[in-house]
Amino acid sequence: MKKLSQENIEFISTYLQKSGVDYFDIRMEMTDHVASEIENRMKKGDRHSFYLIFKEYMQQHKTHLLKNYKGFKRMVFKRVMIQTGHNLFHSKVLAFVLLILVGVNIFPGFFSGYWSMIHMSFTGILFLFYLLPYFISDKDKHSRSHFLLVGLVVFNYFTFKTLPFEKTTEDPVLWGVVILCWINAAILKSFFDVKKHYKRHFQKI
Amino acid sequence: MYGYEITQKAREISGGKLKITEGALYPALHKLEAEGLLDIEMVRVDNRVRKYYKLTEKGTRETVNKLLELEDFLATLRQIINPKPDFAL
Repeated sequence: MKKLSQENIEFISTYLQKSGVDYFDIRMEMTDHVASEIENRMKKGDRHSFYLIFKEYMQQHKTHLLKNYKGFKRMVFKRVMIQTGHNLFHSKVLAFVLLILVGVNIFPGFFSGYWSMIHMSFTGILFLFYLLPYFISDKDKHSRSHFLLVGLVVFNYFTFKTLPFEKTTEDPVLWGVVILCWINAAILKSFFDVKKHYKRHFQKI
Repeated sequence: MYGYEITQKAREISGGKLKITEGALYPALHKLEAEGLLDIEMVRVDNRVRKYYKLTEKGTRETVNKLLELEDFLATLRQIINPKPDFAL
């Protein structure tokens, strides 16, 4: 049975990527599906070239494939929200929040003096060392970790803009800081869980 | 099994009557994976990466339950369509 070449596979993958399927974890599955269908048509006696069969297949199925991708993104969003919701009550996350709560009560001055700087540095580090490489490298752009990172950076950016840090010694704002740390810890826990999941499954390939 | 293989198997077993489109299959597989009913494995095959799905223990238990529910439902339908004659009349 005729198998597609490496160039053919890359052609399919690049076409899907240019059509908006930017997450590697779903694109590789779609690529395999399209490639398997083309190989099957060749096996059944289709004598046309790879490009003609591919073109014909895409004319018939492109709408289906892209619709499937939009649904996939919605599902990923829902999945990371549920995962983060569960992680809000994970023992490690709760232990961290307890630590912050104690810290806020013992050293309120620390939070009023340095919190703004810590918060902005944290967001900056996330953006520079985690999110930026995703924009540069397409291969490593996995859906769930990307959603979590974008969520984390956007969440921190907006809370940084809205929380009145100059009044951090006031009780309600200190509670705001604790809740902020709690949500951050839950999202970060989800992110590292997802990274571990991807590492376990994608390491071999 | 991998996605394309599932579509072909369904078509083969049903004699071509059941055609699962990729738009219906993959969201269902991803949902089952998210619910912990399916486990995945990535393998490099023929110049590309292939994602294999297999039932987890929880998935196997759930399958058995769903099949029992389906059998029960079909039995009820059969009774409705072909009711046993009432000899008491």
